[in-house]
Amino acid sequence: MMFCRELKKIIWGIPYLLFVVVLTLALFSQGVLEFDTEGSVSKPEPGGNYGTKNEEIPELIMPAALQSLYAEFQQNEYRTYPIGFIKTVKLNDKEQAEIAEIISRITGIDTEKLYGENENSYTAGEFSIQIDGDGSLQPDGNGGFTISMDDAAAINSMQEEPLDLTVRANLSYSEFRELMQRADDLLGGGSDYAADALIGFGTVPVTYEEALERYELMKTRDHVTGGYARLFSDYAVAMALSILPVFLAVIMDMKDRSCKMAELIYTRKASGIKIIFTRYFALLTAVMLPIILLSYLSNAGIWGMYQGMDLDYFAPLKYDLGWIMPSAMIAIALGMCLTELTNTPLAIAVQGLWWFVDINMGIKSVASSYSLFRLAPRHNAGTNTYFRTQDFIDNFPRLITNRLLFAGLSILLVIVTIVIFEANRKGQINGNHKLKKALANFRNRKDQSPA
Amino acid sequence: MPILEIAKINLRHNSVLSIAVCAAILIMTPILYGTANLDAASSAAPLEMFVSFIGIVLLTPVFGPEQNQETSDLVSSKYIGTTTIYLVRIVCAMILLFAMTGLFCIFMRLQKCDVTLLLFFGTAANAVFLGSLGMITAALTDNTVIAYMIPLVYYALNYGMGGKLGNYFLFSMRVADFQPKMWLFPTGILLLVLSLIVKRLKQKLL
Repeated sequence: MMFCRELKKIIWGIPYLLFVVVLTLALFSQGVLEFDTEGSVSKPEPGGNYGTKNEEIPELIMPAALQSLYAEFQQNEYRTYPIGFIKTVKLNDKEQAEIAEIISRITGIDTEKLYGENENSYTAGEFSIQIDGDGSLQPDGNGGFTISMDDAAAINSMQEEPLDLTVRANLSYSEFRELMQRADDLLGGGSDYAADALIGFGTVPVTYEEALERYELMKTRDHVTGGYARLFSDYAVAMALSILPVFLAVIMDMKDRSCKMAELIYTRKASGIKIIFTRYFALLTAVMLPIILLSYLSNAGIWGMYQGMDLDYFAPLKYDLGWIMPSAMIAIALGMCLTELTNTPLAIAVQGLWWFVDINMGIKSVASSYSLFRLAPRHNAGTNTYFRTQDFIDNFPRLITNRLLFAGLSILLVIVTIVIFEANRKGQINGNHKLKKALANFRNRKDQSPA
Repeated sequence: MPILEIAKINLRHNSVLSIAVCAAILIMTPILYGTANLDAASSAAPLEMFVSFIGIVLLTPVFGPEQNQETSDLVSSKYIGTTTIYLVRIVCAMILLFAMTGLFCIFMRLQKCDVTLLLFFGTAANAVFLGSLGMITAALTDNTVIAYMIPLVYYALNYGMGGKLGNYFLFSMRVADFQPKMWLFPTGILLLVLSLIVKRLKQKLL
């Protein structure tokens, strides 16, 4: 009964209406509410182009990464992605020397030679001419300049061969990874040279047999609909459900206080456990209802394209509850807990910051990421990669661990909320009373006259 | 000077938390992104993505204190009108916004970043636009929490939709496109004025 009243209170309000509108807009903007029906997955035909994949093949990775690092070293412009967007890093002389040392250790070429090659280089587009040694620049009398060089210097320069930039034969892949990681550390992280990002240099084409295997896996394990449901969940968690529920939680909690209902609730017979858990589950239900509806709306759109196949009609529900719900749970729990504790919208700042850091720090791992503390796990794979079902199967245990951790954490936060609620009820904490008192003391001290 | 007194009291009673959150954002920015030796395009990223946030923090809660009915009644009973109080708060928030953005730009300059005046104004334009989105929402809904939601969601939309947002794309300076700022700033000011009108109309009607 109390649950129904709470649910009704949440649903019949402008905040909830806005929540649903914003949720729908966010998902629509990502194109997962209406999947492209022309891009349906079909059985691969021999002789086609099946795209590319990344593999940890040292023979491929080492020369490609080395060439890239050397090219960036020459320009002293290194591309990194610390928070999603590109950041061009320029190193100081000391750091450049360390990069030169790393290249030298990989290639066996002396650092002086690396620098020599660097200084002689001319970069198109920069419009700069570097003249070494015996070169001279003379006015030609017509408003122009003539560049002349000493014959010997010119001959030497012409005879100088380009560097043979190859990886030392006796350098192991693990040593190479360590050196590259050092380069990444020097760049402040987020570069392609980080040990776990080196695989990006190992691009190989997908063979027909592999494409066929991926297709079969998608049919038998994902039952097609699972792949689409996963893509929907990927966007739903990252773009909406890791942040939006906190607003509803904070609004509901603060509403009690602004309507002067908090004190009335405190006097009720119902226990804190019952009141807080009822509100928590009412909020969770209200948040999950539109997401379940939208996930089915999105998934049902492709059912017609795969007639005759063994589809899993429960796939959206499974992903909603298993993948999306734990993120919504933690956002609601944090919102309730911090609002009960401070009686301010502080939870929005905290959750907002967490969400912001999570989606940005992990932008390089958007393709797939299931690390333990990831608020929004990622598996951004569509029809062109047959939803990368094998990748998902391989990481499934990690995903389960992550989701269970978040579900557990949120329950723990709800328990903490109950403790705070009971303390408030007894007048031991009284919302942000202590914070207000501290601020008041600070103001009073400032207001006191020196006399 | 009653106006100065209002500004002083407002700063002391309503803005302390906002200023603290802004300071936290500005302190965290170099930690998360790294703000040394950046070219103009790379400098734009922390400014547009992090510093712009202070607009939401400073401008959105302008109507906040009057959400409490008792405070609202008390303020309405005074000789100086509520709109004047709002105006004083807006001016204070704008001064803080420009000062904090300016200070951060100076800090980046000291760290040998290519921060230009254009980048400074572009960042301020973003901040004003996001903040005014919050203000108009607060004026329409009388709910500061919802008012925080709308600019945050708009910010998130910029990730998903990017350039599709046209002249209202927040992260354009990264590709040296300053055209959107010419739209964002006037629109921000317009929304700000509109929110004041909405508040006034609501007061008259109720």
